Amino acid sequence: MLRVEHHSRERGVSLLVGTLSFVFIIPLVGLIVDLGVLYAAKARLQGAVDGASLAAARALNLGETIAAQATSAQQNAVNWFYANFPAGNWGTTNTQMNSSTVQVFDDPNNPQLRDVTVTASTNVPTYFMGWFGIFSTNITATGNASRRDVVIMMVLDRSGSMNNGTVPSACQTMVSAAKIFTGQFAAGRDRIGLVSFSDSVYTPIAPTTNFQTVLGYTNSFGSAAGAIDDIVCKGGTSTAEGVAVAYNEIYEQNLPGALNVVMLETDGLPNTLALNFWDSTNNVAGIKAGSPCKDKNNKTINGGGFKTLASLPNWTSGVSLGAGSFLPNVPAGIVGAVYSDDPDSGNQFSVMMNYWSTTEANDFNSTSYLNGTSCSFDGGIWTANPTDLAWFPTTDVFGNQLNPATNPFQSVTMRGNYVKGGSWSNFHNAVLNATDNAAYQARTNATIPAYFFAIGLGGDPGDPPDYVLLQRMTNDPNGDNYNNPPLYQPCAQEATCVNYPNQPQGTFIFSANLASLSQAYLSISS
Amino acid sequence: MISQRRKQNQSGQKLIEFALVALLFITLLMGSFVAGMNLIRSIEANQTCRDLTDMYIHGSDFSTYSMQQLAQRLATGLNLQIGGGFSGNSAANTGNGGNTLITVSEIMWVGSTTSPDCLAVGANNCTNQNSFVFLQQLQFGNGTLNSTSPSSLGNPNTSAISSSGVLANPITDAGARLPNPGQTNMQNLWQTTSNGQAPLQDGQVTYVVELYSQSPDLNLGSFSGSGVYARYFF
Repeated sequence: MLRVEHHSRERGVSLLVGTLSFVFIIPLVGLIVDLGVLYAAKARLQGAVDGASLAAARALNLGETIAAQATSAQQNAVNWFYANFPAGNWGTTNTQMNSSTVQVFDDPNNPQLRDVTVTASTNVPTYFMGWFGIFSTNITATGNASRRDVVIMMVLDRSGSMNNGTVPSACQTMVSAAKIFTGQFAAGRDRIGLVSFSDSVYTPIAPTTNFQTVLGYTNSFGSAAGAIDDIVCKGGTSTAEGVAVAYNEIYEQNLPGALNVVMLETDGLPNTLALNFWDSTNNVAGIKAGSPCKDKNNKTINGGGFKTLASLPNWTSGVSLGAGSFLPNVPAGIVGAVYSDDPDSGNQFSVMMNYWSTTEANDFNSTSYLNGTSCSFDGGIWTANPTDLAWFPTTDVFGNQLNPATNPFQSVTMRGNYVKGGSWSNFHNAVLNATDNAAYQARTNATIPAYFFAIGLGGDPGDPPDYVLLQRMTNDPNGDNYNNPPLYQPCAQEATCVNYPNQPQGTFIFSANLASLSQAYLSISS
Repeated sequence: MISQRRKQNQSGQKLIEFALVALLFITLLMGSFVAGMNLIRSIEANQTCRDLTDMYIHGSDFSTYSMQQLAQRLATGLNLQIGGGFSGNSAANTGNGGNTLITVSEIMWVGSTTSPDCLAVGANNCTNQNSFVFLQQLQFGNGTLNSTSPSSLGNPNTSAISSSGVLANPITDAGARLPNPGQTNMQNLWQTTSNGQAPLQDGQVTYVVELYSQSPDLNLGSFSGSGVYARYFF
């Protein structure tokens, strides 16, 4: 009997136990679901504030004053946050994020950094926890980003080939584009300077926070004229000297906490170097034995001339670059810019001239030359091979190596301790090497390593920029991303290209018109 | 005799009770599993998308295979397939299987004819004035998912796009303009003053990564994973 009652009592027990267990299981599952939603909403909110903080930091270059830049950053943060986290996202309510929750401040540890902190909070609804009186949960997320101040030297090519006959010319395009470029940066914080070069280097304008007034600019706030507008394009292409002098200006700023950048714009091939033909170590002048050229005392080299520094003709006055300079001072004497033809122009040397100019319109800045009947320098300009030169020095006046020991770009023939003179191709290769080396030295400086960016402009169609040279200078491993079909391949696929992953990696962009140049600038400034 | 009849009456009752309870349990279990897995996928997709956008804005070139491999490692669990490899750059590496498609875009607001970008090409040539335009778009993964979940921005319609997805003439090329409904959606999202927002300035750029991942492994009877979509603007 007991057994029968026992079975009778068991009837429905499984259902009862199962149902009762739901009382615990469903809230448990609900808790898990609510926590999952909470976690997902938190992840989304965090992503939104991260995006907002990065966008804010990027906007710190918008505005002509520090206060205006902070306002731009706050507005950008709001814009980007709500693009990623619209009101009501994940069923959230009462989202708190506005310009007052965006803090812009100077970094306490690095004076060249500005920090942005974005904070947002929102209420996430609960779907099951409401049974226990918890209808929403408030979550908060904070995002941080920094913007490093930038020190930039613009190195603008004002050689004659920039006047390439198109409308607008490459020169005009460069001027317009350079002003758009300066308009992309934060006045009052960033520092931008200018060096322009043809066969001579224009005395540089040091990086200044007042660059929009000094150099000129164009952006959505307006425009102004400045030193960039004064550029006149004519003469040769002394890229190595322009780059070296530009880096020297960055070095003198001595701001290792900033992002130090050389921004080169050029249309063609380097063809000029500033060289010193007096070897002060061995007290030897680079004049070939038997040359009819005469020194200051009207003596040929076979007649006892060119034996002392004092007897040398004074082609140019020296340049003192001051204390704390990266570059050596350049002495006066038999020092001058050697200009050679581009490859499609007859492969000859042309003139020697002052390598340092005081206006942005100088070219063939001639002073005095060697004299003497049949001397190839006589009269100032010579067009034949430089038969009177015994050699070229191994470095230019700023220390750029014409035949570097490590990974030279081009093959250069040496004669003893000097670069073999008298050969256009040897000199042409040496110019390319020195230009490459100027960038290499700036990138590898232990104290102030510089990033290189290069814009290739469509100038002389017969002598387009050497793409590999500019890839090497910028240390850019990428191929052409801006033209279709691509004009050049990634560095690894170019036989003479070398990329150094441990050195600052910049960007080379070839842009034939202003519209694509603006795009290129955007990629650099952001 | 009575006991035997009762036993007969009870036989199967526990089974029925268990079946009723199990039905509820299994339904709850399957629903929880699918919803939970979808939630996990959604979180993973969001996290991957966020990381890719962060990398993109810092200069990562996703037109190269090496960077797509990095994306693949980030998207572990989403079955992103990118093929056996390629050299150089590819704007569309989409001939692959797998469950995920990633679309990377850089878009810019071109202002009126007086904006610097329009002035640079001449106001009369500023075809894309007052529009969002693509500066770059890349896709990699399973391209067939474009039909299931097309990019919310649309795709550029131009031949003037490089192998790395960069558009050569974004101001003058009508094919660079975001097509509708992407154009309208973007203008509604950005060129607005709600929530304290302000319209983007002329020439401002935003970087976008979209990720769609289907979930065929979560199709359990009437429960199915509808796939997850994530998008971030940085």
